[in-house]
Amino acid sequence: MFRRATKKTLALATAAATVAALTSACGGSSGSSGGVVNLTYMIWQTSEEAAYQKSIDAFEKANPDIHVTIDLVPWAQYWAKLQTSAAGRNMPDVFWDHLAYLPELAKDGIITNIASDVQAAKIDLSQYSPKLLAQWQNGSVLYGLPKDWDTIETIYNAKDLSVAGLTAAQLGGTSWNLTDGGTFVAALEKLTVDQNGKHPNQAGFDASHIKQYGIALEAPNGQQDWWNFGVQNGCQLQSKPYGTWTVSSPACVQAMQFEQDLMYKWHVAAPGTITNTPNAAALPQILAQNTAAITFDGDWDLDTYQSSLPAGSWGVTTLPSGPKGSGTVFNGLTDAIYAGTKHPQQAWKLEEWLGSAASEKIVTDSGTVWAAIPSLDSGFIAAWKAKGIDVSAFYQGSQGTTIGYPLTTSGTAFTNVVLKDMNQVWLNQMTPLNAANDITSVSNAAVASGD
Amino acid sequence: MATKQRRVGQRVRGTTVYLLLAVGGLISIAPYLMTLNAAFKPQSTLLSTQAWTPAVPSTWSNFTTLWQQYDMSGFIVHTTIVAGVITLGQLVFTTLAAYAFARLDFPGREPLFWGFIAMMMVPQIVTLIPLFLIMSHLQLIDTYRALILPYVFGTPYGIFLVRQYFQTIPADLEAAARIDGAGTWGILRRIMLPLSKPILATLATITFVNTWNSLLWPLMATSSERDEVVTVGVAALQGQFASELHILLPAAAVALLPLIAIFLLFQRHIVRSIALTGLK
Repeated sequence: MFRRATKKTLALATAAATVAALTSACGGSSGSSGGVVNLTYMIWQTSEEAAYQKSIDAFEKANPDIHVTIDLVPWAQYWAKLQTSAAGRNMPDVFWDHLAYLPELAKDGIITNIASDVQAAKIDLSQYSPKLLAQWQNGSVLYGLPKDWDTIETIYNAKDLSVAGLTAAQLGGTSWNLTDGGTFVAALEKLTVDQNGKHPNQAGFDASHIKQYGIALEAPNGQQDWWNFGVQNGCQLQSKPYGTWTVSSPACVQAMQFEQDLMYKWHVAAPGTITNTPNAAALPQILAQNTAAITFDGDWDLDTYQSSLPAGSWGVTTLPSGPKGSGTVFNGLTDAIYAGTKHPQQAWKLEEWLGSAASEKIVTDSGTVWAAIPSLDSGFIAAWKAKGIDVSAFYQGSQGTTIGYPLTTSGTAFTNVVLKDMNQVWLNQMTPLNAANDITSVSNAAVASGD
Repeated sequence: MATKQRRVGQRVRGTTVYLLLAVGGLISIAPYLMTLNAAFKPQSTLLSTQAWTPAVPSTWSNFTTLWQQYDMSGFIVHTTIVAGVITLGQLVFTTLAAYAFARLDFPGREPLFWGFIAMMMVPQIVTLIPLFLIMSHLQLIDTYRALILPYVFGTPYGIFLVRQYFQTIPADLEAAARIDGAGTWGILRRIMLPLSKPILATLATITFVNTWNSLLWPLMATSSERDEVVTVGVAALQGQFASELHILLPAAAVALLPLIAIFLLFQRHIVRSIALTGLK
C-alpha cells in the first residue's frame, strides 16, 4: 500500500515538475536581456525583407542597446495574426500598416498617435509627399511616418507591341471613351488575336477562340483595374474621407461598365474566367505566358516581371487617359507603433529611423520600393535603369491626378462585397449598376452600424 | 454462350473500375508531381510555361537558393523537435488517459469522457484567441513551449482512438494478470502496451503528420526565426501579390519528403487506422 502511494505521489510530482519546467517563464517576444531591448518589426513582403534588414542592421549599429527582429508574415495571414495578437495585447512593437486597415486599428486604439513625438523630435513633415501624409493624418492625429508609395501603370510585352506596330509611348498616350472605346480600344484591338490571326475589328473574328488578349485586368478590390478607369472618369468612391460610399454614382458605374465592355463588347480583355481572384494566375504569369499583351499592375510586382520574363521583353508605360483626363491609384504604407508596447521609447527610435531619409534611401536605392520622400525617388529610377527598365511612368503617375484608398471603418465589409459582386460582373452575370448599388448599400450599412 | 457473355461483362466492368481508379489516382497525385516538376524549372521559365510542361532544362539552383537564402534546415530541425516532443508526449499521456477511461472505475468517468469527446466538436479557430491569451499571459509567446504545450497532453481524438482499442482487449487477460500479482501499472506496461502496438503506431503517425502540417497556431504563436516551423517558413514565401514561386515550390517539395518517408514506413498502420475509425 505504502509503496503504491509513493509511486503515485512520485508520478504526480514528476508530472507537476514537467509542467512547471515547460511553463516556467523566460521572456516573451519583446523582452529585454542584458540591457538590450528586443523589438519585433512585422512586415508582409518577402521581396522587401532583404532591403529592410539592411536598414535594420544600420539602425542596430547606431543603437547597440536595441535589437530588432523582423517577423515576416504573408499578407494572407498578416491581418489575422495582427488581430489575434491585438486581442492578446501582445502585438509586434512596430509593424507595416495599410490604409485599408488603418481606420479600424485607430478606432480600436491599438496604434500610437505619433504627432507629439514628431513635434518633439522636430521632424520636418514637409519632406514627405503631401498627398501621402494627408492620408495618414486625421486632424492633428498622425498614425505613422510614411515609408513608401505605389501607383498602377501599364506593363507591356515588347514583342506583342512591335508586332502590332505600336510603340510604348503611343500606347501610353491613348485615351478611352464610352461611345466608341477611343484610341485605347483601337490599340487593344491590334493586340488581340484569335486562333486564325484575326483581330476583333476584322470580319470573321472568332471571339470564343482568342489566342492572345489585348489586356488582362485583375484586382480583388479594384486597385489595379476599375479604380483607375474610375479616377480617369471623375469617380469618387467616397463622399469624403470617413464619409459615405458613392460607388453607385454614374462616373463609377461607367468605369465598371467600360471594363466589362472591354471583355464582352470589344473582346479585347481576358474575361473573369481567366482573371477573377483569388484563383486566377498572377498578372506576371498571365503576361509571361502571353495570355495577354498588356496589363495594369503596381510597382510592387516589378521584381516578378524582371525574374520571369526575358530581359528586354517587357516594359512600363503610363495608363491611358479617360473622359476626365489621366489618373492612377496612389497608395502608401507607414510603420505603426503598437499602443501597448513595453518599449515605447525604443519603438519610436525605430519608427524615426525607418521614416528618415537615411533609411528610405537604403531601401529605395536597392529598387525595392519608391520612397515616401520624393527627393529620393531618383534612386529608384536609377536602380531600375541599371536593370534596363524605365520605371518613370510610376513616378509621373504619382505626380498627376490620383485616387487613394478609401478611408473608412467599414473596410472589411467593402472588401468582402466588392470581391463577391465584381467577380460576377467580370463573368458577365451581373450588371455594373446592380453591383455598384449592392456594394454601396452594403458598405454604407456597415458605416452606419459602426462595424 | 452465357458464361462467355458474363466473362466479357466482367472484363468490361473490371476495366471501367480500373480506369476510374487510375483517373482518380492521377488527379490526386498530379499536384504533387507538378510541384516537384516546377521545383526544377529555372525562374525564367517557371511562369512562362504551363505547370505540366517538363522542366527542361532543369536546375538545382532553386534548392541551393532555398538553403542559402532561407533557413530551410533550421525550419526542418525546429519542426522535427516540436513534432517529436508532441508525439512522444501524446503517446505517454494518451495511453494513461485512455486506460483510465477504458478500464479504471472512478466516479464521474462517463461524463468526463463524453465531455472530453465533446471537445472534438469545437473547431480550432474558436479556441485560437483564448489559447493565445493564455500563452501570452504565461509569457510563452514565441517559444517552443507555446507550440508544444497545447497539444503534448493528448487530444480527444487520440484518447478516443486508443480507448476504443483498449476496450477490445479481453478483460480476462487483465484478471489473470491481477491474480498473478500485477498492479495497475504492471498490467498497463506488461499486458496492454505490448498488445496495443499497432494503435500506438497509428497515433504516433497521425500526431506527427498533423503537427508537421499545422500552420495556424505556429503562425500566431511564433514571430522569430529561432522557432519558426516549416509550414510558417513556406507560407512566408507567398506575398500579397508577388510570390517567390521558384523558392516556394522546392520548399513545399522538401517539406513533404519527411512525411512521404513516414508514410512509407507506417503505411500499414495508417491504412489500418482509417479502417478502424473512418477518420483521417
